[in-house]
Amino acid sequence: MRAARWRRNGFIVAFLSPAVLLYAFFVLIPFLQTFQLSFTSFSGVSSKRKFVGWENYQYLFKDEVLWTSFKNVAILLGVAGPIIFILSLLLAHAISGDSRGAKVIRAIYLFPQIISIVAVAVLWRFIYHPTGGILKGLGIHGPYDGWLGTSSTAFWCVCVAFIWVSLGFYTMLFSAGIRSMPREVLEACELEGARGWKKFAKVTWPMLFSLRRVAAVYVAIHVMATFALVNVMTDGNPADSTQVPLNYMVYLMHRESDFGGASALAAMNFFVVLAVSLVVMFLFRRNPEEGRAR
Amino acid sequence: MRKGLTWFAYVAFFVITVFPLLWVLMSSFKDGASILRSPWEMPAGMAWENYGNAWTTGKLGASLVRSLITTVATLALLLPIGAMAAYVLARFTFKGKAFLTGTFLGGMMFPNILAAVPVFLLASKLKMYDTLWGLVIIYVAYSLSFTIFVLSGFFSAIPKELEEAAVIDGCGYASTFFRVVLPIAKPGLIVVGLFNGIGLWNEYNLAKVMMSAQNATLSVNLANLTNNQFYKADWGALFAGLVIVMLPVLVVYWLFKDRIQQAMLAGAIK
Repeated sequence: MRAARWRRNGFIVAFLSPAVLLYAFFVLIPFLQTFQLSFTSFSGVSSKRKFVGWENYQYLFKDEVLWTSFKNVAILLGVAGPIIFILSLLLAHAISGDSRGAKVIRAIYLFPQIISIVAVAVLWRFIYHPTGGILKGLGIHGPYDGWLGTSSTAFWCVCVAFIWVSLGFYTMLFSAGIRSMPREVLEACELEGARGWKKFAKVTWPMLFSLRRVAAVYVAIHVMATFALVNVMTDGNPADSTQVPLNYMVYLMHRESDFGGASALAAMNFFVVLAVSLVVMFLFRRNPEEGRAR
Repeated sequence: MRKGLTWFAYVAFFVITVFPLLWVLMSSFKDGASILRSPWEMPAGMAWENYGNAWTTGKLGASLVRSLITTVATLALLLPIGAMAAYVLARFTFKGKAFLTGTFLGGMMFPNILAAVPVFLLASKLKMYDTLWGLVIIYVAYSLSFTIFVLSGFFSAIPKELEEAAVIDGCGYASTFFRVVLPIAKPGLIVVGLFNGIGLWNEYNLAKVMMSAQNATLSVNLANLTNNQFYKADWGALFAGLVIVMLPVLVVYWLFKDRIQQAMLAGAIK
């Protein structure tokens, strides 16, 4: 009996340890170290780490670029987020049938999501290119320095690219929700003659309450994770007008060798994600149908 | 009227999604000057030399090989390691299981680049910085959360009776896993492998931070090439590079789109 227990426990340990060790060493411990490093100051791999308390944070708070970068993710969250949310919901509703058009859209809607984010970023740089881009080809002339070269337009252009690349994922999420709705509800819906917009407002929207919350939390997470799109499209330029926290973090780390500051920024980013996710979960907390029944 | 609206939405979405990709493909066969002059014109001939230029002068060939090696090596390590852990978490009860599961799950919530500073320091200390094997190890570690999560789902769905029968027949735990469970879970492994494979092929964040420009992987190299070529006229090679990055992924996606969507959904809805 004891031998059997030993064998079982030995098996568990042997099978878990490679994953646990790798995860602990390269994901979990570095993650926790970020907070520790955010209170230190050092500028190289082997240079001495000095404890500086909240200095990195104080320094960052005075940094205008930090505020721009958080303002920019706020724009993504507050403007691009709702647009993605609504468009993907409507699109999911529109492709829930079995028509040929719906099938074609279902086959292609994840294309932007599945190709490399670098390809997406490069592609959009060319769409906005001042002399040879798609927009120029359509006869739409942008500002003199180009859409991405002008501070007042650049970040909105990034927003459009962000919406383009994100739409498919949320459409997939909502489509799955629509497809898993109970048959009886849909049949009752048909019998009552509710279709199109009416069906969307009275059935689809209320039935998707839990997925709406999932999607909203994902918008928050995805927005706060924005890095590659900005890094390749603009790298924060012009004049830091398109900067986002994670790209600024990599800038501090690579170009300025300010490892402490970069860690502080990462820590701040983490707490902002956490706070935003909690707020979003609170806003989308309740099943509206249940509330009425009670 | 309603039908018309729906069809308008279909066409608009189709054009917005697919058209830019076709534009890239078309432009990859034009010479740089004519892309710049008339972005809408069909290519005059097939300028295959763009692909040659991308391969050699853009050094995309070397970085493509690096991306291929990292992707394959990562999958070769990730799938067995992930499957073993997922199986134990799906089938056995032990102290600390909830904590472990939660910790692995938590990894899917924060961006991999958040811990860039400590990971960079650790990699430098272990002589992993700017090496392919170092990148592979880091990739495996950061892909574990998703892999374990989706595979546990597959393992939980396999009826327990099969394993019990195998144990009665005298199979040990490990050989039950390798001989009975894994073959049944093969569809799950394929799905997870495909999805991870696409993500690894496309990966930018960690490759950017962990590799120097000379040893860049395909995605990073393409981004660098864009920065170098953007204000020069020779865009032909750049567009060819874009096609080289996108095409394999789109082909794989097209062949397995239902399964890949299934994996994405399983990872997304927890």
